[in-house]
Formats: sequence, structure tokens, C-alpha cells
Amino acid sequence: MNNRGTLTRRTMLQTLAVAGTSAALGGCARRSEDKNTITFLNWEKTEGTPLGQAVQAFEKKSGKKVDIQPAPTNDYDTKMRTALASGVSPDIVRINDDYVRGFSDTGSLLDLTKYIERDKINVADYAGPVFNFPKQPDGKHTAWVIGYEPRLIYYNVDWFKSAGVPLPPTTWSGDGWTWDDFVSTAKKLNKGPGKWACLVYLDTGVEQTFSINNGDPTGIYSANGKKFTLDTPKGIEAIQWATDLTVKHKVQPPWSELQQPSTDTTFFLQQKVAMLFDTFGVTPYFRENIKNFTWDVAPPPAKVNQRTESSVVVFAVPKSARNPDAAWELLKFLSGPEGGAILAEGRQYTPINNEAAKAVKPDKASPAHLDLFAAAGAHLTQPNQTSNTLGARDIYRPALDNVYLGKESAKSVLTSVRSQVEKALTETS
Amino acid sequence: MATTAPLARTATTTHRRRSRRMARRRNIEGWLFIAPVILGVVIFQLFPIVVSMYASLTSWNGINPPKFIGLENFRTLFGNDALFTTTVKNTIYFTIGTIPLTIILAFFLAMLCNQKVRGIAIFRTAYFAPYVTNIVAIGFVWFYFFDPSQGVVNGLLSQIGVHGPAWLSDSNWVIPALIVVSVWQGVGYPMVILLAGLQGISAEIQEAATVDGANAFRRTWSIILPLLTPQFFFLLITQFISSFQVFGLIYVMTQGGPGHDSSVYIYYLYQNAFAYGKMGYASAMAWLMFVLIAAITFIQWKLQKRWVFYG
Repeated sequence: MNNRGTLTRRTMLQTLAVAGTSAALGGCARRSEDKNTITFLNWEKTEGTPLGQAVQAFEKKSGKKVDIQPAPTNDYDTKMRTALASGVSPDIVRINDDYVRGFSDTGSLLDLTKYIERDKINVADYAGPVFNFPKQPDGKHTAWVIGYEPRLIYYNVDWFKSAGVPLPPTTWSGDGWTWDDFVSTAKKLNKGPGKWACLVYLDTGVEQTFSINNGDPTGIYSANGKKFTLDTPKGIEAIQWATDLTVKHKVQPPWSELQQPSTDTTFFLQQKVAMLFDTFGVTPYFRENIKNFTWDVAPPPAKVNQRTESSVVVFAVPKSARNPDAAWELLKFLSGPEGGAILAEGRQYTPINNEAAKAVKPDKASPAHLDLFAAAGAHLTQPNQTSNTLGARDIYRPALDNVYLGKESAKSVLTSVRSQVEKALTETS
Repeated sequence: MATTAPLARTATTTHRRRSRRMARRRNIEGWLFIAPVILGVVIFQLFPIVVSMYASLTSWNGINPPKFIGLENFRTLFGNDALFTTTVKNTIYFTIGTIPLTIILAFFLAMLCNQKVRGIAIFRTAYFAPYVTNIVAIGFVWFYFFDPSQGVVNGLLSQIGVHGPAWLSDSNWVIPALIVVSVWQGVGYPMVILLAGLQGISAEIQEAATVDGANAFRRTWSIILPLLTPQFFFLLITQFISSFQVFGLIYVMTQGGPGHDSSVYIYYLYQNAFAYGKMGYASAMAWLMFVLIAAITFIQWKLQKRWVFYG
């Protein structure tokens, strides 16, 4: 009988044994390698960015390897949630500042208090308001801020000059730069469809900034994160003001033309808008790509207040991280003087470290008043943390589409969604 | 003779035992060979189905342990979730708009591609190509086509003096715009199915009808369409299932907007599962959809006796 080509029990057992041994040896090698590697989930690639350079400096200094795993921004929250649920999460995860409370409530983020106390971190060395941002009501410090991105008005200096309009203030001052002044300036700058004076209403930053500046005490949510407060008279007036720039004054692009990705930066770059309310994060892009006109930055227009919402660049160490100690070392480096200096040099974030933040100052390239970003530290506001910001936002923001499209008033829309939003705020995302 | 019978019995018994041993061994070998597939089905299909069934009865954020809440998720779906109703309506609107247009257009394209002319293969490939093109790429391209100020669609409309709407930001136009993209993208597959059906229709029957005086319309109505009913039935079921589960186009082109005007069932399910962390609720939605699709497919199956011709 010819047995060639048939599978004997012995052959199968031998094959399984070899496969098992290989897998076990591979696992050992992996574990050995893991001890020296920090895995890092981020929502963008870091090669060539200030963050990437700071991470490289840490690798050089510590001898550790940082394995950055970029995930597409749109799918980032899904990937992060899946990673946390798997129980084998990365050592560090970037986390949207709006979701820190929600993820903290799930108990999946490591309390960093023991590291803060062990290393005697001095709060006075950091920008106070944002340093305590990740501190939860129960006292746990569940995330770590390395920098912040204040929103300012980017403006096209040449456009102003050609229209003969005085430039906005170069300090955090409301003199000649109130909401009414802003509208008046916009009307003078406006050149009709395709050449609009301003672009203000794009993301939640406008809702928080302008409602606070209009005198609302808490902005979108109440201090305890349980109430929806954008529907107060001050909040409603702020949203209507931003909308009226389009529907009443015709100085802002229609909402329907802003649905493509990166419209804000593209419109400013292509000189389709003269003034843009955007974060510090777009500065490196503008510095690299704007070659044919001079641009600068100014504070947002003032009313009762003159503050600005700042996105916070925040990271967390999951409880299931394999190398929490090494992860903390990296976070400490990024928020320290050395890492902070690299971030400041890249002009993408204002580093949380006060000493490093001093490096955020103008150079030969635009903007001439870059130091306004550093000075913004004294004028910050942030949306109050809630347990389910995403759930709440997915109710009121789509509803605002009808306001921004000019179909309904801010009052009718915001008051109609209040109960739904507050119901969402009672849930944990 | 007296000793022959026991010996024969012994030989027979031994032979049977050997056969049984061989059969058992072959059985084991057979099971071992199909074990990877069985394991794959159990681990990646049956297990998730069971988990999802259990999850639908729990409050679970995907991170912490699930908490059993019975039928509460289903009660919320039917009684306390306005967005659920909105997404069901939008899904039905999309489905009702997509299926007839896709099948009718596919039929006409199949008739055209059934002609014996030189270069017809190029047309067949061209019509089929969108079907095998990445939905993200399609979504982005059409996204720019529909741009209200610089898009191709409004550019063409302006040539004839029509001021086109903001397709993807207008409550009235967003789903029709998505239907157009969906039909354009999906028409290739039904066209191929119908083309195969057309090529299976005997030329003799059509010639006989022609001899009897039937014109092209009569031949199409009385011969071709009845003989294609099995293909239409197959397409009706598969197109219904795929339209009801539309996700990629919505995700890439509108994210459910403006407002929730293009938010469909699967997109809302996705948001619940992966954005809001309501895995239990999303599982309940998934099971509800399964029941709905199964019920409608069953009805379609029962109704086929009235109109599908298997001659």
C-alpha cells in the first residue's frame, strides 16, 4: 500500500508540536521586546511633526522605543474603545478632551496621582487651568495634558490693507474689537460670494467661546456636566450672532459650502475668507503653505468677556497598559521643559510647561503676533466635562444644522433639544 | 468441515473490525481537515451571534461587564427613541428609492449589453466597474460632484439655467442624491445577473414570436420579462438586504446630516455601538433588523409563487 500523500497521526502530532513550540518561543521573544517598548495610539501620523520630534528625543534620552500606532481620525474613538475593551490596550492613548470624563467613568483609565505625588510634580510649573483639566470629581487624575491649542482669529493682512480697514488689536484687548466692531469690519472686507470676510461657525469652539464671551457663566454645559446651558438667552444670542454673519450680513460662507473636510484651512489658504476663527493647531500648516500673502492672528472679539476655547492635547494611560511606568516617563518628558521646548518650537501647541511656553514667540515668518497664543493662557475657557459629551453633541449639533442653514432660529432649535441632550448627559458614554 | 465455520467467522469478524478501524480513522482525518473551517465558523460566527443575542438583553458599554436588563433595550427602541423612528423612515425611503431604479436601469443596460456589436465588452466592464470600486473613493468623488458652488452637477445644471441645490446639505435633496450615487455604484451587479438571464433565453422562442408578428415591445413584455422573473426575484431579495444595510455612503458623504435627515438604521446602530458605547442597545438594534429582514424576505418568498415563472 502506498502511503505517500496521506496524513498519518504521527505527522500531524509532529506538525502541531513544531507549531506550538514556535508560537511559544515567538511569544517569549515578544514579551522580552515589549519591556523596552511603549505602545502609543494616536489619531494622526507623527513623523516630522513637533510631537514626533519630541518622542524621538525621548527615545534617544531614555533608550526606550516608542511604537506609535496612528489611526484615522474618523475611526479613532472606535479604535480606542475597542483597544480598551480588549484588555490588551496600548500603553498610552490620545484622548479627545471632550471624552475624558466619560472614559474616566468607565474606570478604564489609570489614576496618575501616585506618579504625580511620587515625582513631586509642582503644579506651579504648569498652566494651572489646563493642568487640572483631567482631574475628576473623585480626585483621580485620569489623563495628562501636554499642551493646549487656543483658538484665535487668523486674518489676511494684505486683504485688510487693500480694503483700507484697520488691523485688529495685537494684544488681548477689546478696544475697537467688540462683536459689533467685528461685524462692521467684516462688512468692509466682504467682496461677495466666494470672497467672504470671515468664517467663525465651524466647530464646537464657537459655541463655547462666544456664549461665554456673551456673558453666559458656563457655556455649553453646566459646571457639573449635568445640564445643557447653551439654550440660555446668552447662549442663544451667541449662536444667533454667529449665524447672522451668514444669513443676515452675508459675510460668511453658507453652511452648505463648509461640509467638505478641511474647508476652513483651504478657504483661508485660497484667500476665500479674510478672517478665520481656528485653533493654534493649524499654524504649522499655514506657515508651510501660505506663500503669497501676509497673515497674522488676533484675539476673538470681546463682549462681556474676551476668552477663547482651547482644545487640550491630552493623553491617558489605560489601566490595562503593560508598561504604565514607562508610559508615565514619556508623558512627563513631553510635558516637561525639554519635550515642551520641542513642541513650542514646532508652533503647534502651547506647551503646558510654563518655562517651555515662553518659547512660543514670533520669528521672521508669520504670524507676527504668535505670542498671543502663549498669552491666551490667561484667557482660556473649556467646555465643562460631562459623562457623555459625544452623545449630547450628536443631538444638539445636527439640530443646529437648521440654524446654520438659516431655516430655524437658534432659540427654537436649542430649546427644543434641551430635554434630549440632558437625558443623554445622564448616560455614560 | 467442523473447524471451517469458526475460522471463517473469525476472519469475517477481524475484517469487520479492521474496516471499522479504517472508517473511524478516516472519520478522524476528515474532521481534522475540516476542523479549521468549523473552528472559524464557531469562533467568528456562532460565538459572536450568541454574544450579540445576550448583549441585546444587557446594558453594556463594551468596556465594563454587561448588566442584564431583560427587554429594556427593545422597549426603549419602540417607545423612547425618536431617532430610531427617523432612521427607520430614512432607510425605507432610501430602499424604496434605490431598488426599483437599480433594477430597472440594470434591465435596460443588460438589454443594451446583450447586443452583438463590436466592443460591447468594454461597455459591460464600464458599467460593472463602479460595483467593484471602493465605496470610500466613490463617496469622496461624488461628494465633490455635489459641491453646491464648485461641483460638476450644479455646474452642468447652471449651463441650462438651473440653480442647483446644496445637494448634501438640503433636507429634501440629500437622500435623492444618495440614491443616485447608490444606483450608479450598484447597477453593475444586477446588470450582469440579468444579462446572464437574457443569454439563457432561447433565440428560437423570440424568433417564433417575431414570425407570429410580435414587435420588440411585445417580445420584451410577454417573453423576456416573464422568463427573467427568477433573476428579478433574486435581485429583489439581495438588493433589499443590501439597501437596508447601507452604511459606507452615509458615513463618507453625509455622516447622517444635515441634522439627522440622512441618518439610516445601520449608521445609527454604528453610532450607538462605537461612538456612544451602547453595545447592548446596538445589539438589540441588530437583532431587530435581522428579524425585520428575515420577515420581509419570507414574505417575498411566499409571494414569488404569484409572479415568478420558472418555466
